[in-house]
Amino acid sequence: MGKVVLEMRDIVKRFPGVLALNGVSLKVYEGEAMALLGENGAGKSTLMKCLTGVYQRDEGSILYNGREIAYTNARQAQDDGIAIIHQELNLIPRMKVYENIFLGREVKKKGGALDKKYMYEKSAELLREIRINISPNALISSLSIAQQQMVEIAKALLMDAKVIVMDEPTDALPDEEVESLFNIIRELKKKNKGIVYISHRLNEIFEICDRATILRDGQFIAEKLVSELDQPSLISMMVGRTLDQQFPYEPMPLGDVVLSVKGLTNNLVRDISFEVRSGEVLGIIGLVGAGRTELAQTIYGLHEWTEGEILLKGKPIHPANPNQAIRHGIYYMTEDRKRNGLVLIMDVRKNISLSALDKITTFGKVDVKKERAICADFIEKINVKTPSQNQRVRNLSGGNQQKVVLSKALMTEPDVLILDEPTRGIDVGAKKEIYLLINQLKERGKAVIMISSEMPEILGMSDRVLVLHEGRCKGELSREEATQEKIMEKILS
Amino acid sequence: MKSIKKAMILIGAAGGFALFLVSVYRIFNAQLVNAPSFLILIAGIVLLAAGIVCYNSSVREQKALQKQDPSAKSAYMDRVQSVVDFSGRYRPVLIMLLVAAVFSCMHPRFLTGANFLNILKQNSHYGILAAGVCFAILLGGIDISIGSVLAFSGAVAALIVSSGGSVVLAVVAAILIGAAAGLANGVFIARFKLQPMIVSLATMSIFRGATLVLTDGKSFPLGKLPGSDMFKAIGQGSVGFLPVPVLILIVVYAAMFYILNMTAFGRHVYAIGGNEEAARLSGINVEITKIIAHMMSGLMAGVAGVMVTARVASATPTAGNGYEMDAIAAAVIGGISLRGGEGQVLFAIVGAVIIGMLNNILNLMNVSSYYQTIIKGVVILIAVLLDAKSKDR
Repeated sequence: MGKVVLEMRDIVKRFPGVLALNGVSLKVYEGEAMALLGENGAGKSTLMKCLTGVYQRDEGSILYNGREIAYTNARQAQDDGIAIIHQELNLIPRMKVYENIFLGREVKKKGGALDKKYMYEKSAELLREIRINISPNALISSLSIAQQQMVEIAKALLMDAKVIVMDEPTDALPDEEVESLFNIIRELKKKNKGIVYISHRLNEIFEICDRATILRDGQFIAEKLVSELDQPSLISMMVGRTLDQQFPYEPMPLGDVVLSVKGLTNNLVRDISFEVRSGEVLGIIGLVGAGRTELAQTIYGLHEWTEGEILLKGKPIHPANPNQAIRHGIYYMTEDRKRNGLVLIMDVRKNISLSALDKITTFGKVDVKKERAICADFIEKINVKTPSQNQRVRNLSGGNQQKVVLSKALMTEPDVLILDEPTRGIDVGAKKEIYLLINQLKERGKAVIMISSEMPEILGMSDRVLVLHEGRCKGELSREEATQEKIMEKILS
Repeated sequence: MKSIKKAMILIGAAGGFALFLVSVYRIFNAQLVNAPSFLILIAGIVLLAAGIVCYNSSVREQKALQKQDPSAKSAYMDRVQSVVDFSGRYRPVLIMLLVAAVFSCMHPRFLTGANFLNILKQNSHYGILAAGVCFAILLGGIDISIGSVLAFSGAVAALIVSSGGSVVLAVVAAILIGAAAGLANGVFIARFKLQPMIVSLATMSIFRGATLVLTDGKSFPLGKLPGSDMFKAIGQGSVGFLPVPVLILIVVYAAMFYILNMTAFGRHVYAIGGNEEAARLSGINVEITKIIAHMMSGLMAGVAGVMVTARVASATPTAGNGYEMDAIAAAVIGGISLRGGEGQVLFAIVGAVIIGMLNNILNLMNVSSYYQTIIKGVVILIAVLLDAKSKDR
């Protein structure tokens, strides 16, 4: 067992109206990866911000290498050897790898000019240390997300970080690159670094982490050795109850074919054909770059297409933009709700009604009374937790934001609902709620297309699975046939 | 509890201060007990009342939330937050009241009914330009061509009136030219996806040049034809005690408020400014919304062009030079965020009044106009700084 390099003891942090952290403790051991687990809003990010000095703790102490620390900004923490690798990477795309590694810490020669040679060689050395094959001269924009993360890690190594915090590092990674990240984490562990690993993907915890600290509602729940844990017990600690069934799939009687796509081709997808019936969930799976999102967006009128046809209830349609697609009764919920799913600075009500304003507008005037009533109805039915309709969406948690997007989609009363990564970045409890809502949609006769990178989710919730690879259809599997192996087989065939 | 009181005092400060000043004037100068002093008094009271209402409603909301979810803690801190939010939301109004109060201490003639109406009248065209440019700013863009568009449409109106055309024709022509200029801006910005700043910089130059061509570089008067008196009335006349420009200002702001707050189009503008990509994916026709919004900006420049020409009774080649600065400043001081999607159009007039009051007091105190320009620049910087600091996105 490694020695404790960093210990946060009984941290308390208050915000207006919220006790964000209530006596939370976290230990980081040398040469081990500590998973920090909890639902959204459990206090993981707040805890990390207290560590790096973005927030000031109200109570408690932080011991680092045996001495008490209190940083006032993230730079101090970095200089002291505590590095955070954020979900959103802090790299400058148009600059070279070594320039990014030395960003803000440039080494200068005597005359004041940059010592490029030294920086280049040092970068090469750092990259070698973690066994990565990237040229220090490569442009960041030419690298994959995983490689960019590795540059961030190299940056942390430059500062001789003892503790490296990784905040949802695999969230943006395609599955095939996750393994290379894990190799680096193993490498870092060998170098006696202490790692804090934050992730929603529980299977990763079992693969890479040695211990887990579980938080719930700002409270410290437990610190356990991962070897003593299993998935159900972990989940029950995180949500404070046992989730009887992770995927509440319910078969529904199938209705008519609502959407049928035949030989759809453009520069993003090639010869795609499928059908969706009312009351059915069609899962679309594939590796990153398989063209899943592109296919959905093409149907939604965001990309042009020339060959093939899209039939809605038997009638050919050709939506040229989302507006037309919505009028036809198709709605696409984006994979990145913060970037293009919501207007974060607008309130809940205005977000919900945004796509269906014409339903509550007469002669250009929005009927706010009607709008309020409809939104109140959605907030109740979909269980959006918000203090009021006037709350800015930005202030809601990820799961509740997703429910706002879903309300917005449903207000347009679509026949076909395309969900792109509907549960990305939301916690276990909220995921379950989304699944239950998908069941309700089926019950109401909607045709649902669900795109997801999470294989278990696709297998758990779909009636049928469509496998895509590099923009092409690789086959279709019924719920009974579909297994992880079969899907991989199809992809690789 | 302490911090709540602090915040409540903050809210009450402006109203209370105004109250105090009015009573001082009552004692020392009976003449100054007039409409604007009472306006400030009433505004102060309304402000306090609104603060209390806001406070109460947040308490109720919090209680309702707590019933649903017992883990939601500390209603007190939320109340503090709501009070701070409130003073943030109405900050332009608070600043206006404070500025008015401070200025009335600096010069005895400042706080008189006549002066107040005068400020409104003199700045009505800024107010109207600001209302128009709000559309561009709310989209997250900008329109700096409005000063030139104002000059050109004003010159066309003057040409029509001075050559014996009807006043209605002159007004309609000016407004249509403004709208057409805005349409051109909008098409280049929305359709061809060019930078709003660069597009309007180019059209600014084009319309200034067109004005110079039309006026041959000289100012020309409206002339003595019967129509010209009617036209002049738009800038110089009054209905009862209300000057016509102030009347136009009120009508324009009522219309802009309605458009931006009550209509689907207004929602679309805010949504695009807040997150253009999300707006597009939500089925909003981004292109058309942007084009119409820029048309509104140009249209308002046309209206202001008519007003300015009517007020000075002639078209000048340099009319409206630099007005875009004041209009944008008014919008920003009025809390309309340059990042788009945030702000209330009604506060643009508050911004225009603040700038107007500043010019007015500096004039009353005989400060050189050269210095005034510097001071205005500093005020704009402070306003932008406050905008950047107050809301993190």
